[in-house]
Amino acid sequence: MEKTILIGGFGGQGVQTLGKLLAYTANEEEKRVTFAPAYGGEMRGGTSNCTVIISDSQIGSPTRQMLDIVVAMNVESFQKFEARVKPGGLLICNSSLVTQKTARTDITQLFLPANALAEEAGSDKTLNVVMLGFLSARGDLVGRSAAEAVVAEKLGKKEKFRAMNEKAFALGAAQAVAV
Amino acid sequence: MKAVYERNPLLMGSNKFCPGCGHPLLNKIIADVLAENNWAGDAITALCIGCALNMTPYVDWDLVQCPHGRAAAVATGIKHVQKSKLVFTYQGDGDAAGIGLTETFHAASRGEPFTQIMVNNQIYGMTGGQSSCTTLIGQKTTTSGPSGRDPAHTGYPTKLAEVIAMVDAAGYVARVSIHTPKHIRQAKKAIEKAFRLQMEENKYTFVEVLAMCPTNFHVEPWDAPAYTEEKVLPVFPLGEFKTPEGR
Amino acid sequence: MAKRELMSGNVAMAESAIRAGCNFFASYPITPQTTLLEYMSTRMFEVGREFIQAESEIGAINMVMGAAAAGGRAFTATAGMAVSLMMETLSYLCAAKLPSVVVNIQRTGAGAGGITSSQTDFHYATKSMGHGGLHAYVLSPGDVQEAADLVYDAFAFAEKYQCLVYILTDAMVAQVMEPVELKPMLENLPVREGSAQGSALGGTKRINTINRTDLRSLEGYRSFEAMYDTWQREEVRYEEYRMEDAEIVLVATGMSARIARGAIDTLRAEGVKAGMFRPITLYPFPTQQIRGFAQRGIKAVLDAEVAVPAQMIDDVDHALQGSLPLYKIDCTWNTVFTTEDIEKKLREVAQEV
Repeated sequence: MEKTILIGGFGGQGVQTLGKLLAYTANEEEKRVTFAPAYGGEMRGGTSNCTVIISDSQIGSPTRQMLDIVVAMNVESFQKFEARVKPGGLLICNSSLVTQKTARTDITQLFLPANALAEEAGSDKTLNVVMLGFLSARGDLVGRSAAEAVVAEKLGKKEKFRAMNEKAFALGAAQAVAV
Repeated sequence: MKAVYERNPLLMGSNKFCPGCGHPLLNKIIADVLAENNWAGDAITALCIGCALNMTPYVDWDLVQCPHGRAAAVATGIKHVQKSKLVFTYQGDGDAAGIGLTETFHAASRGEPFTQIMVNNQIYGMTGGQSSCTTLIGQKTTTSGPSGRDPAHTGYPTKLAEVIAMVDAAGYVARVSIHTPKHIRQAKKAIEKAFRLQMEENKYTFVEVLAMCPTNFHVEPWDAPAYTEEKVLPVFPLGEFKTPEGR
Repeated sequence: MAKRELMSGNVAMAESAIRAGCNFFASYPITPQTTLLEYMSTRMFEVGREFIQAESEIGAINMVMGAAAAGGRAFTATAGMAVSLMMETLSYLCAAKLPSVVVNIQRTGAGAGGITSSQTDFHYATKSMGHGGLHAYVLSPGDVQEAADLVYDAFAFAEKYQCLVYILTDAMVAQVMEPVELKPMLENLPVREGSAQGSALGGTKRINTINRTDLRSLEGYRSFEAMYDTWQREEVRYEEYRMEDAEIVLVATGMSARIARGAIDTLRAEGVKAGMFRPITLYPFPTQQIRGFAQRGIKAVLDAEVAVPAQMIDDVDHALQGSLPLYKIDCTWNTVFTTEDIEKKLREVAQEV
């Protein structure tokens, strides 16, 4: 069983961090995993993206043309990566910035107001934690409790940040249940 | 019978240098400093490309022959692995001040605790007498053109000791000569001081030695000291440019 | 199995070098090597080893030479065009038989090139280590775990043969993060005999000097030749993937092999007997192994590489000596082929044979 996910956004949205948190969680669960940051001109400004592949067996290419899940954190990513969702796959959009509906009928589009929820948690910097809560609560990628533990370990340990991240994670997770 | 003079055992057999060349004399000065201070068993030399490498079969302590100009970088690597040892480069002016200026300058800037000895004879000797960055104004070389070095084309001689003396981390910088017995004694003192500051105070130290190359100065060996006095010293003044006690 | 840590190829190679006993690292920043340099800048101090950010790659590799000459376990890492700055001294390291390890994370193209991942330094790394025609032992890791393992083993190999080990890798290995199981920290390694540690009067060590006629002579160069023959016989490394009954074999290394692996699975699922042969040593190249393909019922070979004009294909061609039809799929710069591109090419080859 292999799951491929691409996360796109712009610099400052914590796209790379979200990818790494997913990868750390998968590793904690003793799955095979690759995290591939987008390198090249895309590293500075503009669109940033990364690919995470989680599998039970040896992983081939750490980047893929077609993906099971695409997370579009901004409009540019929606436009650029919408076509790269596999038929039957999932396109998750940060509806705080992306409101456009996909024209594709062979994929499922989900909306998550990630910026709004992050602000509700206390800072829009927790945008990526909201998204991790959402992704992990769906259960088919990584486990929710493992992801929560990784957030606690890898992100700010100060009480203020810890509480904020916990809230952000829970808000994202609650949306997954609602969907 | 009491021996009044013995050959320094660190010098082996004969050497391949030209008559009147400064290198074998300087090799002997260094060998004497090592022997007298019991440093020979701790010495590692990073040796340059050029006439200097004829020292290889002549001296009996550890030598590492470096790519042209890179002795200061190689010595940096040696010293970081052998911290308690006496590490010094032995380089020509083309090597240390020309092709290897970057390595020289940054080793000094980092304050790497080794000694650089630059033998300045104002010429590329091994390749047959081409211009160096230290060639004197008007000095004729195989690449200077018939009227000698012309500042309109190639500027002025590089005075590396003065440059290195401006580097904050340099602990000791001197220029010496070896064209008379008095100067030889001063040169020996400067080299000993440079080595001592390296070993005892972990300082980067630099000694530029003016050496004679009668072959390429186009003078007889016995006229080379006078040539040095009249032509070289006015351009390359001698002295300690930086000491731990202050300039 | 010990717990595997998630880390990038750069960090895995750096930590493996330290665990293998590397006690001297000098380097200069260049994308995509910088995270390796940054990791070493703190980690080497933690373990009480020597770290220098050099003034240039020329400085870095010459510091490596000095450290190796003085008995250190010396290491540097760089990328693309900066290898050119090191080339003179890489030749010296081979000629002087100074054990040392160099990582080149390849960048695209000639001149200034680009920072995208590529395989354009194959010829540069395998045909002659700088001037003079000597060789390094050149390794190409396929993923982060293998990068860690190859760097770890490189130090012992360099000591065994008194040679330069050159890890030729790419950004797909260097920047991708994967779970890695690291080998243990080696402690109390002896200082290599014959190194310049300060000695005189008979015990003198002369490294690379003009009177080293044992190396600087016809006999010396015959001994290098003999060492390379030994490597060709005993030290060739490669991986065969689904090769048992393969009729079409893809030859690829590093990032190309990684991209192609999924294509082999897809073609197998479609009933095509496809397999992959992945050279791990690029010098010595697995020439004899590839030469034996025709005797194994293999009908065609596809060379895949991220280099235009293709380079490794010359060695594959030399190995095959015309015994099998040879196809290629290559790319460069911003158009790295995908697994799907390779699947398509394999189908085309399958149609033709």
